[in-house]
Amino acid sequence: MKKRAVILLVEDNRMDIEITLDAFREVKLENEIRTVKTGEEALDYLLGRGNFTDRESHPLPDLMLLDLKLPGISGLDVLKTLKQTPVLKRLPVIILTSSQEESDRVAGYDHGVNSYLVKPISFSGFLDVAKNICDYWLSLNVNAPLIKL
Amino acid sequence: MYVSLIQNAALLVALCTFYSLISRLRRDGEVWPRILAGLLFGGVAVAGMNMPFHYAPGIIYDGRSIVLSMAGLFGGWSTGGIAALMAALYRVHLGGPGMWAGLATVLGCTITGRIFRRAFGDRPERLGILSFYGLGISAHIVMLVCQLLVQPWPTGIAVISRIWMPVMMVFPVATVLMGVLLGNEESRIVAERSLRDLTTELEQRVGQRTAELEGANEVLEAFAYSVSHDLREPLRAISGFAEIIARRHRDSLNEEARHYFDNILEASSRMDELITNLLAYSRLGKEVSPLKTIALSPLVAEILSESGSGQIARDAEIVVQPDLPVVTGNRTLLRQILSNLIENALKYRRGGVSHRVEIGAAMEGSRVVVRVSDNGIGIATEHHDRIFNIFQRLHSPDDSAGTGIGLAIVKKAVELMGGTVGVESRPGEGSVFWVKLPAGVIAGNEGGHDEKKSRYFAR
Repeated sequence: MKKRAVILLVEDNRMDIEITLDAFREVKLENEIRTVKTGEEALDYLLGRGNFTDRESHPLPDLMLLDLKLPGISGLDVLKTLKQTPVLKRLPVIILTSSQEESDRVAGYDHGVNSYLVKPISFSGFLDVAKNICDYWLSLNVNAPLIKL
Repeated sequence: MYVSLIQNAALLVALCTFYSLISRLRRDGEVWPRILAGLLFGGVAVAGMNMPFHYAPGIIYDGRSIVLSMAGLFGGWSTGGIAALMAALYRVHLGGPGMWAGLATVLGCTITGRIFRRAFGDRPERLGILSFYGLGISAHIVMLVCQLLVQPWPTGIAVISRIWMPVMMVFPVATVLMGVLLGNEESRIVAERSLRDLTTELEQRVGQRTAELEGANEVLEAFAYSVSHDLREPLRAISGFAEIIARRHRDSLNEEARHYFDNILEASSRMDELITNLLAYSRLGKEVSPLKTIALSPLVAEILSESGSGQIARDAEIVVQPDLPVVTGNRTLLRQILSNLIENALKYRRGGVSHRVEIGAAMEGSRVVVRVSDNGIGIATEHHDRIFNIFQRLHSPDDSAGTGIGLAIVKKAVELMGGTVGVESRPGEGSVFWVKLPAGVIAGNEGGHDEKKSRYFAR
């Protein structure tokens, strides 16, 4: 059987984390979700720095869910750094934010985000999001290897 | 004698004309128009000396006393000084026994003019006819005294006894005439300048106030925007977890708990609607593209196909005037305006009457008036202005769903397109909401054709 896919969830709001995880649990996602709460942590995780040097216990994700409004380094800055880093630039990134602003959407796509989702208000909306991510990004979509050998 | 009188008069008229030209260039704190005026007065004084009344060889009288007192009066030290210097130099050049008397006259008359200027608070345009006559008398007494003091005895007294009568009769009157001419010019210029200053100041103030208001508006919109965003975060938790409980643990809840959780969900969705509308309101105008010509008929049809078939439109008759005119506007804003008005017209119904909503439009000069009317509950006159303010609801949330932002969005959107909005209504007689917008531009004869048609429908 295929190795379980790893999702990195970058989200500072505890309630949003709980709802998101709950929604993924309800759609029976057979994957692992790692959560970090700040932009700094997200970059540390991705670059294997600080607490995340051990790739065995902190494997590189197959998909990243990124909130834009984060304390300190913003989601957009995380995205910029990621897309400029050779070993990480092919990692699919989905922005999951409450902002519907045109400026945020433009900036997201300009910096190479793969998908932009607006956080739903209802739990059923979150179930939709979780289900579609599983069906599309973790099933149909084929990733490119992060490090070309 | 008469010829030189006419020549002198013509010279004075020319002086007035040129003075007016120079004065137009005058601004506060600029020196060169004053110098130019000095050269003008001096030049006229010199020219006047070339058309003198000869009394005796070397003893000449002319209009320089008048010109120089005017230079001192209207021009002050700089203008008067230059004019006096020019006249003095020329008088020296002419020479003769009357030279010193002539120089004294030049100086005396200029100083007299300057003294009068000071006496009237540096506002020469305030002098009236009597004051000018007073100036004329004073300047020419000075002139006569100069003859007496400077001419060798007894020529002085002989000269004075012969000329004082004609001089004192003619010269002060000429001073009045010239003073009135220049004074009118001066007061016109002063009035023009104060009007210009006032206009500039007014423009500055309007600009400043507009900038202040725009700044305040931007702050308010940014505030509403971030508040709406931040309100969503806890709301998502409330509705999200309430929904999880209501779904996953429905069976373990009793009837009362289920009902209360449903209440939480209902309130959450209402809160969400409020925030959505508040966001829409604060976002209005942030991303407005240039105004274009837009046909109303297809837009109305589009809106009706979405909201006109829903629950809100049940059992209502909707009549749309065919061939609605075209307007100049923004499609997104127009859509927001019309869907809000149509939704309201469908919403507020009167019991016992079959509900009817009409959508029509007519040309009114270069503007299009769009009307959305209903035969619903109507609105009392005292509320007509209030309903366009944000969060002004006339009904409690239980009577009818609404956020109190719809009409505020309509008003803001209409104003962004340079239009106006209003309502005609009475309780129990239905309401007519009208929106006035610039008419659209259509090529060829079509415009006239459309206009006729819409006028016909308007009747």
